[in-house]
Amino acid sequence: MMVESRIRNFLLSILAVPVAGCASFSGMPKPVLNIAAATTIPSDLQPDTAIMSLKDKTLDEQRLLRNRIIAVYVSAIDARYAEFRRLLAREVRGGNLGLDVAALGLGGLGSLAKGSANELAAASTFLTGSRSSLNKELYFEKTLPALIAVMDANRFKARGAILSHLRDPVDIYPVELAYADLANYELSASIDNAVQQLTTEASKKFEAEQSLYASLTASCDPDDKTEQVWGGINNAVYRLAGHVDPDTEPTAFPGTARPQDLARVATAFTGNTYNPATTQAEADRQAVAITSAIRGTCRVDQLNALISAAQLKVE
Amino acid sequence: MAVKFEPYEKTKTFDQLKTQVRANEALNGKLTGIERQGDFTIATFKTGMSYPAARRITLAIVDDDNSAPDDGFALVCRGTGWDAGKEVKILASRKKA
Repeated sequence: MMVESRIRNFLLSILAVPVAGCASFSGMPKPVLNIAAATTIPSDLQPDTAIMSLKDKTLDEQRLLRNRIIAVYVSAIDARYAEFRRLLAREVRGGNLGLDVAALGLGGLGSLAKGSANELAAASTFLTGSRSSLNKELYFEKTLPALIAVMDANRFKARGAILSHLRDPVDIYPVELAYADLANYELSASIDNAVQQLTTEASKKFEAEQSLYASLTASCDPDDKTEQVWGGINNAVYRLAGHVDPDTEPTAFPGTARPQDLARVATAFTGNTYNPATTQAEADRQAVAITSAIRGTCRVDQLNALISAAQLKVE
Repeated sequence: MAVKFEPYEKTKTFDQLKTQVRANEALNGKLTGIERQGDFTIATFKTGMSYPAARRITLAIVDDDNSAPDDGFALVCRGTGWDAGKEVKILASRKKA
């Protein structure tokens, strides 16, 4: 009887565990700002009303209205995002922990209730099995910080793009464009996009590793003529990266570097797209990528063709 | 600056090795080391601008570990490598500036 009572109590506790799990672990403090208040947009700032009211306003008044729209919508989007992150953390942590505790509890009771040990062990296995079937959830939990980091980066980028226009006159950055950018800002916080971006990054890394492997295994046999052209390319490329001679390192960036030209040459030589470098290290990496890309090309005519295509000035 | 490695098969003659190490230095940057590893001679380069033809790297087979470079040349590194399947000691030097 005592065992039955303990089983009944325990079964009740199993029911309580997921509920407790869901209610307790959000991973961040409850927001002080009321989500409803923060996301309520005044009627005069709704797109239709605001755009219709523009015709009666001077350019300065339009600019003030546009900036007010941006401020209100950015705050509302931020409040929604904070809520979204809070719920995301709560869902993942609450759900998993509930199953963990339930499985642990049943296993423990199996050793206490001797007569029912097999049934309880089976129940424990069932729950642990459910837990295994939720491996994808666990995986999600592990990757969540990376996904959030990507979403945050996307949001910062979109937010920066909007805020950089606050001082622009309305003929350069009109209200309609501001609404479009605000919509992009809202959409930048998407888990689907973040997953896709992470996958793309992973494939790029794989391609880079693959090309590194290829460069280590497939080389050509350079002769004196190859040496001359390779040397010319190396010096031209490192000049674009800001180097003036082999024995000294550049002291400041960009200095004599020409990041735009370097990125163009890197793109032409490697087949990958490069943006202009913003640091010396980045410029040097692009230079290395260029010289690595031609490591397997020893024929002078092929090298000259690459030089022409990249519009690289080789002395 | 990054470091790059270049492997050369042990069957290459020393003349071939010299030519190719020079070409790779022109492409990659300063030679910093050369060593026999398994069936390869592995040269290490510190990436960066290459030297003009007048100061390109000079490789020589030497008999002992203490051999000095010729007059007017500065020691770059000492190491080991393959000369057509035969292990040799190598001295790398460069004309002084």
